[in-house]
Amino acid sequence: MTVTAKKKKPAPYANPYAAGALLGVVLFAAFFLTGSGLGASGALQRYIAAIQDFISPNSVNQNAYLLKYAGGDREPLDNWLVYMSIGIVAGGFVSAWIHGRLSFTTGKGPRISVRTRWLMAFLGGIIMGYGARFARGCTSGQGLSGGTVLSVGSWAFLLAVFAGAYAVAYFFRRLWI
Amino acid sequence: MEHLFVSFPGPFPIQAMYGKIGFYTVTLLIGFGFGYMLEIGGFAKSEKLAAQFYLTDMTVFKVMFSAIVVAMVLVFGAAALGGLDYNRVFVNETYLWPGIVGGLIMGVGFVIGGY
Amino acid sequence: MFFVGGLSVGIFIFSNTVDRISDFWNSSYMGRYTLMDWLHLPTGVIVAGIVILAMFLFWGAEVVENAVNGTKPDKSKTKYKLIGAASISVLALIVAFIGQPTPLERYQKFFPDKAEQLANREVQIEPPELLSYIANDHVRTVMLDVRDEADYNLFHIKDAKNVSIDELPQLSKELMKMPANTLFVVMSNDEARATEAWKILVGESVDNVYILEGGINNWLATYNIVNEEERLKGTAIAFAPPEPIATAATGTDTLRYEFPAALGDQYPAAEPNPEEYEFEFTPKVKLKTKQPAGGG
Repeated sequence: MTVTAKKKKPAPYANPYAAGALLGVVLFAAFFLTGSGLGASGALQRYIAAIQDFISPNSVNQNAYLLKYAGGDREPLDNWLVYMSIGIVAGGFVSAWIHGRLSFTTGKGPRISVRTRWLMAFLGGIIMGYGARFARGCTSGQGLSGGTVLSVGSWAFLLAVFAGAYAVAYFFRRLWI
Repeated sequence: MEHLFVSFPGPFPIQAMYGKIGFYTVTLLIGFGFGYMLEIGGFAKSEKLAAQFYLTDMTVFKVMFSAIVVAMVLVFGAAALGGLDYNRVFVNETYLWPGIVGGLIMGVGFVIGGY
Repeated sequence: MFFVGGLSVGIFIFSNTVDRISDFWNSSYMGRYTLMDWLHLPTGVIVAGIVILAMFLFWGAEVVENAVNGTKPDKSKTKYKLIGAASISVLALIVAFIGQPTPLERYQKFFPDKAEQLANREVQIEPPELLSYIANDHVRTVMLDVRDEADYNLFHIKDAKNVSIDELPQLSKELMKMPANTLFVVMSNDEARATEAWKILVGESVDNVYILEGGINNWLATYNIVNEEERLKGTAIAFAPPEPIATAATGTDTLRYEFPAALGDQYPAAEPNPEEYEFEFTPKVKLKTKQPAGGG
């Protein structure tokens, strides 16, 4: 995921509308074939639940939220979202490979060190992971999928993500520009 | 149960038709397509994503919104023609305020973390 | 990678602290609530509206990009963009023009096999089968009584809910949220109105919907047995058994029993003791389970 481009001659990215339209077709295929949209953070939630269940089953058994995923005879990884997440990583990897964009680089603004960027990625990840579970879904699960099928909550969520990001973007501009 | 096999329109009870392995294979392939499309759109590159919030590159908005628009027209077009049963399609349940607060938190994390 | 690590930590923190904020986290629950429900507009109008809004926003986004970067608009792809915008807009307008199918259209289009089951009487369950499910703790039985309120007030099976046919499309959203092991039984005096209700619910994709065979009249014919014990105890006046009306023809979906008072579910036949009866019936209920759904 920090795997990005900058070597030799990486192919340019696709036109955003074209990429979006193709993504829309995939999203439609998901609804058409399985009745559910796409999801990514749900899978990570299940990995976390599985690890916690492995290390400390008692803490899972006392946690009503985690019991939905693990604990008892529930198998947290026996879920379609987990397989979808494997597909997502594989798909991103294969595309980057085909287009010659596969290399280890750290995307960042010119004014910060790589180390700061890593720290910030970690910190931002914590906040996003927390926010995603708070909102019951990440940008793909809540935003894209729910937005497509016109869920009111998903549209409110999408607006909130952009509002939250624009509200603080100025204060973190040093990270990126 | 035998009627499940002739059930058109979609969505299809893949798990009942082909078992768990079939269902997971389908979701794996969908995930593959999802990851692939995200990558060609530039979603694996954090500067590109963060640029959205400094108004220099609106790729995030363009990709996401055109995906929603295209998928929406396809979903409801298929439903109108009788090819897809919208009532059986999962619609994220609305918890309005937790969704908004979670969204705001995510937005902040997006700018800091860059994804 | 650091980011994914962070995500994991964030999810971990959330998982282990959510119980402290669960009041807020579970607040403002609205269920399956769509923009159509919110704005009271047809689906197609909303789809077309969003597409047109999107086209304006895309145009606006490019204007902003150019303004911020100080670049000139890239005209080389304008042709393709216009073609794309025009085709998606036309598609959206077609979707709006066709409109989404009504419950009865959905029933005819989506469920041809159900019409066959109806004709073969595979979805009409006998009163003893219904009683067996009422007594079955593993299956949740939801009874929907679609008769007029007057008939319902005279007599109804205990725990049956009185609903009008017009309310069913809205109610079906609630019904679909119930657990997979829920059995829905619709009933009218005979079967005509219950069958209409059944078609609507099936058309709305509610699973496990059945019709009470012969309706309330048949139920009363089966369970309206005078209990000698109660008669002797003196409660017989209050619970005077309803009498069949000889004149009411069968199959007209009218109540063929006369009730001394509108006691609703206070008659013994409203709540027959399952242990007093033998369950002799041709089993027809086949409970269908649900495929896991959801997102992340």
